[in-house]
Amino acid sequence: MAAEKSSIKIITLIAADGSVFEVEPNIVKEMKTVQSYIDELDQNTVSIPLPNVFGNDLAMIIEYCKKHASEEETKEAKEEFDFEFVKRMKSDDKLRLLQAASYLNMESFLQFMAKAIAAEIENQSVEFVRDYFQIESDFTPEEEAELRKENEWAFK
Amino acid sequence: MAMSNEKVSNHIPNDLVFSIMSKLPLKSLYRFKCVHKSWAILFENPNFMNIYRKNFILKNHSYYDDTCLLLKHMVLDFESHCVLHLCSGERLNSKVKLDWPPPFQKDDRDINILGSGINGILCLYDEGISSRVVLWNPAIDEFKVIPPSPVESLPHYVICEVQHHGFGYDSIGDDYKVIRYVKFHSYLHYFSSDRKNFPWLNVVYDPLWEIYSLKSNSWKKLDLDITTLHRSPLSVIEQVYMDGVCHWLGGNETYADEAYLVSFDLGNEEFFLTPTPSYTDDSFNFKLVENRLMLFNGSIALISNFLQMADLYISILGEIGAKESWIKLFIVVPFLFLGYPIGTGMNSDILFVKDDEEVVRYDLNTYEIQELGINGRFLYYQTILYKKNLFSIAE
Repeated sequence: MAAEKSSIKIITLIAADGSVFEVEPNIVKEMKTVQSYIDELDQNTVSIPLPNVFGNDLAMIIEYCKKHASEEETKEAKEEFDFEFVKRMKSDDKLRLLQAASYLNMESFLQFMAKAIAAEIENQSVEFVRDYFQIESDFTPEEEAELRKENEWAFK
Repeated sequence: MAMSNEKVSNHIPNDLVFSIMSKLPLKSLYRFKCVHKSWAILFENPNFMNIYRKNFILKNHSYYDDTCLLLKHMVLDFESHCVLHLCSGERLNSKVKLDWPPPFQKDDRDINILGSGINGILCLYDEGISSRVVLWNPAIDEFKVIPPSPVESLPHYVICEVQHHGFGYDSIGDDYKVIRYVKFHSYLHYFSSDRKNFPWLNVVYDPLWEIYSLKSNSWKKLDLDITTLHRSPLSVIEQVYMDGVCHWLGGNETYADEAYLVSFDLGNEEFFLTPTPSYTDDSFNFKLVENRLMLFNGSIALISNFLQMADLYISILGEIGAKESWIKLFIVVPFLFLGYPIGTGMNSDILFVKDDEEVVRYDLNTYEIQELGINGRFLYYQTILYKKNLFSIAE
């Protein structure tokens, strides 16, 4: 297939809550899920429903993609943007965006979110992490005490 | 928003947990074993370990920004000479030979670099009878000879043997410091067989630790109770510096396998001991030949090699003071004999000296092997990460 196989000018993304986003093709390049869909079409416009991503999250992802797809922005400006981007997010937002990144098959955005989450849970307590991911412990109290003792150095 | 929360599940699939966990330091990872059974067995999952290793070698690449590698080695013609190369570039393919500062230009037989380069400053020393210690900033061609310590003023029949252990920066006192161990040997018995008649000859000189401060430009005795590792006179003490702490390998004078990592905090002048890993769980009887201490992507690491076994272990220290926190993260299985490990290079490189004395870099990420075009006697290699800095020692 030729490189400029697609003639699509505008892509309409429809989020789970019905909100609609019109973006240019270069913005969705990193979204492999979307990309594979439009690669097979030969038309000027296309609408893609994304039932697993909410409008608020999609808006943020698009904002991120726009910044990173821009050739005018310097590396420093992009890093500054990344920093602010993560700073304004709550824990829930990060987890939802990570899952959205996984669904949209966006490798570098997924790594970026995973890193942001890792930074938030690093050096935190086991209880904090369970609460963060809403995980119920499946250890008996004895098993957990044993494991804590075995890895005592990691609790200092 | 309530509706949307119901639609997107909070359950994080395993592959996403992998992505997050692979970005955590070892300490958090071991702590979080207690979160859930599926997290406790992550270390047994080869997929996860591959991701973790890859991340470990790739995560800190900004750490190597503008960094060069200094490679010191020894060549022999009529006598030995130490040679220093500054290697740079992603594949270390650009190399420049550096001239030693004036104090070492006339005699370059036995020059060592102490610890790591700090703010562009190197600490050079030799351990001859007239031990010289020099701070040197090669970027601005500035050097400072460290004055001798009062303990070096001795009667003619006593000589001191100095073993330098660390050079580092104390951020609390905003000071550069050198720590060393001094032993004394009396040559009395050569010319006195009659000690009773000369009681002053019986004075015992105990070994001692002392520390130099650049700010005060003087040495001071330290009250430390650590034995230094017995070593062959040919090899250099393994030492590295990181974040205000000097680390070196110490141990029992008679049993080299009872070794530990000594971590000396330059700020409060306290030390911590961490026994080195014993690899007892590996149920093999290969004799440990040597542990080499190095910094690997911002972590304290030991490269252990064994007699009759080609594999090398690279263990990373999770927590100073905890023996069980040495995590054997890499097993380097050379598909062709790489030779003898001499240190870490940049990024994911380990440097080796082959049997023909040629230096090669082995990339743990891509498994690429490349000769650097440097050749010398393997015992005397040192590798130091170096970042150019215009900092003046005199300031």
